[in-house]
Amino acid sequence: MRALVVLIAGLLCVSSAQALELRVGGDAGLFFRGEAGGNRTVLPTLAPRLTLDLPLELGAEVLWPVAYAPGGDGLGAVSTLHHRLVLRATASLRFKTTSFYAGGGAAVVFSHSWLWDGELARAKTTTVRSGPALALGVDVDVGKTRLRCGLEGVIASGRRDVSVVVGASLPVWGTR
Amino acid sequence: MRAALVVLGLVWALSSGARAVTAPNAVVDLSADTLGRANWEVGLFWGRVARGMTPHLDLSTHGVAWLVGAPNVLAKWRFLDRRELRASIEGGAIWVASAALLTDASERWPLLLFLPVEARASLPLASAFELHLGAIGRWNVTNIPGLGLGTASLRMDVTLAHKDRSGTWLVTGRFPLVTRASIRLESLLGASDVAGAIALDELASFGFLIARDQMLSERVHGRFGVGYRNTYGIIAYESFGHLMLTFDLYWRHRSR
Repeated sequence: MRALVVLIAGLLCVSSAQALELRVGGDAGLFFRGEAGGNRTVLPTLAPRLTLDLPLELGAEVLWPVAYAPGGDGLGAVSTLHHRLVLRATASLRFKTTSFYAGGGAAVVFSHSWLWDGELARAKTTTVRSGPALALGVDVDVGKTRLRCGLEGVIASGRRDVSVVVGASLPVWGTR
Repeated sequence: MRAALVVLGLVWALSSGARAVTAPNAVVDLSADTLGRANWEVGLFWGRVARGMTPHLDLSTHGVAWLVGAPNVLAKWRFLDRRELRASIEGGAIWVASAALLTDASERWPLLLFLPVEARASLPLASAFELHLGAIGRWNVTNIPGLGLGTASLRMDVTLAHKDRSGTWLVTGRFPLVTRASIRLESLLGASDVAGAIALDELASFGFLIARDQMLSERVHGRFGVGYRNTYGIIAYESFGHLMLTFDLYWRHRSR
């Protein structure tokens, strides 16, 4: 534990041309939610994202993807809101203005479901799962804007949720 | 309307004027590159004819489709041309007019329409390597008397390309994502119509292809590729079982 703290402190103290930078952005894409039996439900997803760029092409990210599955208007329809909190560390391999990144961390997955009786919600349930979160993709710096295309996945309770996203971020604070 | 104006404004702000002329060994179908003004490309097998109208705009059509009664036109616009990133969008329509032969003159006009849309981005890497990303969407609309069908599919391509003097090596990953099918069937017995839709993920149908785009002469290119598809595709069109094969010959004319 002490060694980890010393390592992190050392990384933060490294003096280089690429110091710290905080970026704010968002991702949009398709969320493939794993269902029992191996099938996947496809939903559009949006995610605000906060990225901290560290020295040596390392980084940390926090993001909150949200996806909504409407149940329709009929009696007994079930609508579900899926959202998860993802915290991950990233490492990048840079080629000029393009970099390939890989990330690993943890996610807490929330699913809120409503059973509708006409316009009234007859019942509501919430499930919470947690598991490892992985990410792989490519970033390109166009001026101050960083564009992203990537693949993300969460493994929880034996199910695998996959997302394909495109996104952008802008720097809001930094020493670069 | 405002959102469209904002998007167009961002594209204008990020874009720049014409840079270098497209290289003779450019892989135009997999990248965001265009042919260039007054340049031609003719494919041997599908009869695809393309012409560069401006440095950033190509128009193309498939001649073989015309022969079977399917007029078609596609346009590719490279809207972003920067040192860090090139991006294009291609769209078009293929109308199977010969579907009218399926019904008699008293029926309403049947419609078989295919609408492809492709968004591509090209990213320069180190040395002669480039990364090409593509999002390919297909919308099929079938509307014949008594039956309406619609399918929409989305696929992603990732291509790593290495250029040399005589051509380009390509490693392409193809990742079908989702297909959504909808149907509307008019009742034959006077009861209510039947309608429904289903969306299926196709992540398991990924494939990888290694290909060589070789300049056989100053104007003639040949491409041969072999690869693997995780699931069986449409025979000869997508794969032969798990085996993917691609072969093409095309003639490219560059104006002086």
